[in-house]
Amino acid sequence: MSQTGLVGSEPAPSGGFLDSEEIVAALDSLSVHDKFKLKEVEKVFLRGTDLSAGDLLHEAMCAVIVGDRKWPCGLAPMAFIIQTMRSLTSHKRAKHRRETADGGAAQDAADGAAVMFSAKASDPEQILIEQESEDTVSAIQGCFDGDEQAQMLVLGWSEGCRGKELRELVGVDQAALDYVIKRVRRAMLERYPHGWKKA
Amino acid sequence: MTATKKSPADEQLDRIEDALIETILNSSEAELREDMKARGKDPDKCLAEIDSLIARAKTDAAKWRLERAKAELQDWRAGKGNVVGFDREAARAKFEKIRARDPELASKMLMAARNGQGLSDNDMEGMLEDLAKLERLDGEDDEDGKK
Repeated sequence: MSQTGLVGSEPAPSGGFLDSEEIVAALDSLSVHDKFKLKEVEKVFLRGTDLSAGDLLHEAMCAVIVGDRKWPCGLAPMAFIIQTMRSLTSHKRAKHRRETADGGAAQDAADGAAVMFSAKASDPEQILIEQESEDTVSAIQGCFDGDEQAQMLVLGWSEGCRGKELRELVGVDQAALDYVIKRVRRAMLERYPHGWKKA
Repeated sequence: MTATKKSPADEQLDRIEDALIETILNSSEAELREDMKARGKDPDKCLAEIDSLIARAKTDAAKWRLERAKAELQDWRAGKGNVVGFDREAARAKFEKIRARDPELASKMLMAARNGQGLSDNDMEGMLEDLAKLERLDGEDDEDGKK
C-alpha cells in the first residue's frame, strides 16, 4: 500500500481483470469530481519528467485501455488510473535522472568546470541529481516565507507525518490544519503548475 | 553508466508529493473548482480538456490495437509463425459472459451435455479461437466503417 492509500494492481479477491468493454465503461463512469482530481494529481506527478500537462494522463489512459496494465476486478477506477500514472512517472523520472546526470556531467566536462567531490556523494552525476532535489525542497520551503504554519506543514509532510503527529508539529487543531493544508495545496499548484521542475 | 539512486532530498520530495496527492483526493469538487479559479483557470474548460483527452486516448488505443492486429496478420501471411496467441483467459471470460446473457445458448449447451454431446476440450478451444477471430474482424470492420 502506498502512502496515498492506493493499492497496486494485485488481483482482487474474486480474481480476474476487467475486459476492454468494462475498462471503457469504467472510464466513462468517471464523475466531474474525479476528472478534476485527475487533472490536479497529474500536475504533481509531472515533477522530474519531461512531460507536459495532459501527456501523462493521456499515456496512462492509453495504457489502461490497451491493457498494458491489467485492471483487477473490484479496484476503483481512480485508484487504478492514479496507480498507473505513478508507475509511468516512476519510470520516466528514473530515465530523466539518468539523462540529466549524463548531460550535466558532459556539459561540466565541456565547460572545463571543476567538479566537486565529497565523502557524501563522490559521483559527479549523483551530486548533480542531489543538488537539484535539494534545491527543489528549499524552493518549496521558500514558497512559505513568513508563514510558519505552512513551513511546519511542509516539513512534517517531508518527514511523512500525518494526523495527530502533524497537528502537534504545526501546533493547531484539525480545523486549522485543514485550512493550512488548503493554503499550501493552492500555493504549490500555483507555483508549480507543471510539476516541480527546476526553472 | 552509474546507477542513479534516490537521495534523501528525493525521498523528502516523494513524501511531500504523496501528501499533496492525498489532499487533492480529499478535496471536494467545489474546492478544486476554487483552486483552479484561483490560478486563473476556467474549471469548465479544464473539464472539456479532460473529456477530449479521454476521447483521444480511446481513439489512439483503438488505432494501436489495429496496428498490432495488422502486424500479426502480416507475420502470419509471411509465414513467420510468431503470431501472438489470443488472450485465452479473456476469450473464455467473454464466452462465459455471453453464455450467461443468452439463456437459449445455455439451454442448448445443457441439452447437448445431457445427450452425451457435451463440449470436449477441443470444442471449447475451437469456440474460443473463433470468438477471438470474430472480435478481430469486428474491430477491422469498425475501422473500415470509419474510413
